[in-house]
Amino acid sequence: MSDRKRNNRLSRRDFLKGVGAIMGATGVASITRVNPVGAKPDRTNTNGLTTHKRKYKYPWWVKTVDKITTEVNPDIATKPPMVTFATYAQAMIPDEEWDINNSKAKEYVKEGIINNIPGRTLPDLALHYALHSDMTLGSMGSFDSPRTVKIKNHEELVTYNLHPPRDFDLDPWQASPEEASRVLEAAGIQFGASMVGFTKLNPDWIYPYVKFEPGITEPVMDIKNMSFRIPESYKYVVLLITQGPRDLLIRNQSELGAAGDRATYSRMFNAGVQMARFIKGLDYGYAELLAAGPIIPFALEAGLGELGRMNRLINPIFGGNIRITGFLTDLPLAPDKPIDFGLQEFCKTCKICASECPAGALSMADEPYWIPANAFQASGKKVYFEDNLKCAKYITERGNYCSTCLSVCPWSKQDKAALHEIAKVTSVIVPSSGNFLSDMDQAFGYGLIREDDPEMEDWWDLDIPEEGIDSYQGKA
Amino acid sequence: MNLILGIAIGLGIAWLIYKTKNGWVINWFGWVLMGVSASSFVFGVDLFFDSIIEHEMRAGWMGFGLFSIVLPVVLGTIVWHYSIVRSA
Repeated sequence: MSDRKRNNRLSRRDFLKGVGAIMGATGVASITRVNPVGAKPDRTNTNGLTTHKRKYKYPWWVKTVDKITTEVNPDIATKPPMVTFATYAQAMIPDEEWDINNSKAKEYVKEGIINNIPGRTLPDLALHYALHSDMTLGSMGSFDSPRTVKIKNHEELVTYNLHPPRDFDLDPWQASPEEASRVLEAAGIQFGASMVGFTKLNPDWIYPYVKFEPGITEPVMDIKNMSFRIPESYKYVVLLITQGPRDLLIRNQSELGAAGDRATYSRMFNAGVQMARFIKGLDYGYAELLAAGPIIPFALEAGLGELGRMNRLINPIFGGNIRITGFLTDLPLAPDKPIDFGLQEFCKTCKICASECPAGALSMADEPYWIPANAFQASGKKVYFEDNLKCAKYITERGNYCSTCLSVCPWSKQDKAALHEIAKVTSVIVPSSGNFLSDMDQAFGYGLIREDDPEMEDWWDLDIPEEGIDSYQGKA
Repeated sequence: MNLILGIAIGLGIAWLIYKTKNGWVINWFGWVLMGVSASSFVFGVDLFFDSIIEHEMRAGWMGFGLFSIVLPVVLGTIVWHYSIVRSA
């Protein structure tokens, strides 16, 4: 082989160098793309406000331009006449024609229900109108919607523009309890619930002022006389838990933390309203469980978690970053079973919620006990009764809701890092590891972000998902 | 990231095989410790990048330092001194 040919051959050393260079470049590129660490946006404090450049959201192949890409000419522009605050369809179509179209739409919808046409069945229709809860201006996509809507209260929000089968002279939806549970669970997740559970009514847990009566078809609440009458047929309970934005909730004991709490309740409220609309859309009744009894015992029965040291529900997937709502209904449902992931033993030694409670309201006892802290707690359960007066005073004196105990619970983690899964499995297999795992939790810096922590205001710069929650948590 | 980690570990294994064919004798617990060490390294890197997504950077750095640096270095030192017999 000539020297020239030998020189042109790629040596093993050069080949490996080349591979190394490509790998290095790929690694740097991927790390930079995945993790824009070091590319913190500019921050300027102006009048106490923190401003920063908005993060660039589009991929590289989308460019910014100075003008919109649709041609416009103000010289020849005219504005359409709007007769009301409504959609253009309502402005264009006269009342008589609108009524005729509504009749046609009603026949079309009825045909779908009667013939069980896929995509137009009764549960499909109920889902459509359940999600119509906040279309307060009316909509051309929903027949019989008023031209202008003025929703005044919660009851109207739940009942506005619903079309149960009785509107079409049809019977309520018929399904087996298992099928009904499956459909309600799917709908509940769509409404924003993180999990949906079912159980049967346990009269022992209902408030004393609640009476179940055979002669009534709708719940009747009389606040003045402290009476809540519920139809006797409401024997089933639907429970929804919604997860909250952890990035806000770990900033508890601040307005940001309170915002996280309210965001979780808002999600719960929306999901609850839409679930109530869905149940009514199937032509069944509902009563708010929150008004009839404490909700946590039912959530425990429905397998949505175990009771933690803080005397609140802890879910194995979302920890304490959840809020719960529920309904009594006459729609027959298949009850779920309670769950056990070793929390009772774990809480005995962890105690992180009690040690972090800013009001000192939580018990540090080694074992749960039967004696309530005061008359405002129900007895008959062996739990760690908290000093709820201290808790309430702390919250009311600051004007923002504290849920520190729920946020610092070691179970309140996201599920991206495998470390959490390992810790959870360890705590189930070795329940007495609570103390060790809570120490590790603090050593790794998973605790609360406090007022004096420089990370507190960093929330405004975080790249968060919609509503601050990972809706795939526990599902992927 | 997983691709890069896989390539790095593959290269490490290839290097070890090359060395064992050229004079190194590694006893059984050396292989076990190296396996643990490599797993720990991958776990630490994984934890670091997942912690970025979770906005838990303190946990990310802690995990990376512990699982990807300290533990592999300690185990690597043990292997280097006690489980490799260099005949060449």
